[in-house]
Amino acid sequence: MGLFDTLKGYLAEERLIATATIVAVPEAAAAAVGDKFIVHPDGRVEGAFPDGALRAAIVRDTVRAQRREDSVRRTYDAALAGGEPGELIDVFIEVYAPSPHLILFGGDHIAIPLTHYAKELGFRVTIVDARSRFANRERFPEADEIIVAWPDKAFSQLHVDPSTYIAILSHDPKLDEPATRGALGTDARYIGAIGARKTHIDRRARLGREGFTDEQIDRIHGPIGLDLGGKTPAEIALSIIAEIVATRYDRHFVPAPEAAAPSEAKRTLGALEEAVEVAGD
Amino acid sequence: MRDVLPTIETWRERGDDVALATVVKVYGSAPRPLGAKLAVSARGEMVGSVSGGCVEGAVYDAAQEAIKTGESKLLHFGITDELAFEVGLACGGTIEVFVEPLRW
Repeated sequence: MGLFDTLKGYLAEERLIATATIVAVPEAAAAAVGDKFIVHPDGRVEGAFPDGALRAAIVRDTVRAQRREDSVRRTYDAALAGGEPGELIDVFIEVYAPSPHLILFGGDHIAIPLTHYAKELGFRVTIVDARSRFANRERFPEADEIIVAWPDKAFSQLHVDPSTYIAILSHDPKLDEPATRGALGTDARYIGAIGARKTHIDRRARLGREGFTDEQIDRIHGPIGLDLGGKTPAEIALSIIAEIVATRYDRHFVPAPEAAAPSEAKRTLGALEEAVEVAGD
Repeated sequence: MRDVLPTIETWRERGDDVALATVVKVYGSAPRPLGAKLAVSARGEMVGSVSGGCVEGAVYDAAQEAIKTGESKLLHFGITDELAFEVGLACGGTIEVFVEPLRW
């Protein structure tokens, strides 16, 4: 099996992996343009590249790049591979990070366009719902995994890490509450829960009574999604995936409840003007 | 890579040779990030992209060449470069693209 097929296998397994490729090299050095090897996060190497000072230096940089999940271009002194000191060997270190994983609790109507958008953006998508009429292949042909189970049970078979995003879409407290509790017990990158502002206030109070700290509860984005003003399931799904993408790249927007809608702002202004007029009388 | 993999597999299953082009350096603003890929089949099909479309033509030619010769090549494109001016790197950035035959 060639290196490409090996790499393909690791990508399919969603492993953190990297390749190092020589892209430019001076004549005398013992390396050729196109030479390539795979580097594992623990520094293990696959591929026919001579062990030596150059490989050791590249592996060290590759392991670092994997920690940052970022590809990088590096140059090395050709002397490391028997070339002329001062001449440079150019290496492209390509890091393949696992795809982000979106877990949807509740196969409700919003989950359908949300799954579609998430797939387009390169997410793996898992649907969890105890109701098989909501969680099935006909509704979610694009989902990577469909788990028909209650959230408590589902969490025991889900792998959640900082590349995981969780959206709780069910309006049913029987699903919503255990899903929220379970999500708070993980190191998921994002937790969003659907429901109006009032629902979210109630949710915060309930979680507080259950012993969750404010800091823990603050992890929940509620009402879910950026305030794009949309109303249809597809528009709401768009606001949710937009918030997830923003979170992924560390962008923070004013949560929807604090941002006044234009109509509301106008009303406030109108009331203010009225008050000024009254005061002026 | 993930975006181009399924298509590359289809080509390989057919027995066609493939060349892979990868963005290996970007200076300034560039439309595609490091690692962005364009794959080309011996039959002339393409999948993926390494720029907003402005250097794809030149990269395509280099990819066909790589399939024929079996040799890898590093290409530079930038506003100071005559070729890039011709093809018009709309973003005004400079990129390097590594083109290699998929024989690894």
